[in-house]
Amino acid sequence: MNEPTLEAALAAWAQGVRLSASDADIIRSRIVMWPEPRASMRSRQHGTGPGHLSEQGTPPPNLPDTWWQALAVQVSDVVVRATNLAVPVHSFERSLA
Amino acid sequence: MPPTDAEDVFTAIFEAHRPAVYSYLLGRVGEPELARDLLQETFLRVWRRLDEVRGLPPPRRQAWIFTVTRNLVTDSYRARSTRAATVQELATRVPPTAGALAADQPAAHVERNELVHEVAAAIRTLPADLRVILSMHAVGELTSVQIGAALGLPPGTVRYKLSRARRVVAAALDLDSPSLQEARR
Repeated sequence: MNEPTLEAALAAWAQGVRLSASDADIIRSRIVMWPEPRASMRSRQHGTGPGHLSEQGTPPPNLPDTWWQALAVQVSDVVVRATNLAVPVHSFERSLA
Repeated sequence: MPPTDAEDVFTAIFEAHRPAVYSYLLGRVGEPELARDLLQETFLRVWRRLDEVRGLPPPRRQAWIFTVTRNLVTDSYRARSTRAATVQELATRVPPTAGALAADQPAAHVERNELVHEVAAAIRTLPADLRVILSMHAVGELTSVQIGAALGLPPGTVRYKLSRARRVVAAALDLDSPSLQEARR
């Protein structure tokens, strides 16, 4: 074999390490199999910066207002009993409204 | 199932930036397998933030992608120390030496493998900045302007570093190169 030139040596090396078109397509196909992020998820990721994305969390349960009102009543009841204050529960509920 | 609009947009971005990102990663980490993994990680982040990335003008889009890529390389360096023993063990097994292949391969093929092995060894001795530029030029087939745009360097600086890298590799391989011949004049 003739003495190779630097160009030929670099070309031989590059050919050995270059990503083939089929390998690239496999990678591309794997990526698009991931679900597209929903807009609500994306909006919560703003400010995290590229490359350091937080894991997508589970959205909070969409609970009806009545559930929160019921909890507020229970909490206020416990607070009133514990502190023995004569605060009527309905006024605490009203303050949450 | 036909590709969605998002898939088409992603594919266009992937194909436009893949050579630069992969050859940059190869220059930084030096291992094709790891470079492939990091390429996948980089573009997975592009996919997950596609609406944001597609809205960026091309220079800012490239800057965004390279910020992700650099961060992933940094993270991989941190993780590397924990798997150093495994890498060391793998290094004793792969890649196969030219001698091991000699028994059942034609002489020209063996010589070519030897050459590739020697070139890879010479490139590994380069400083990281020269290695990255040489990889982006030789593997990514990018011009000095394209490399400069990706790395935030003036094209003249890229050409100077590329010339230095080539001279070091040529000297290590005891080969003549145009830049070496010019230097000797």
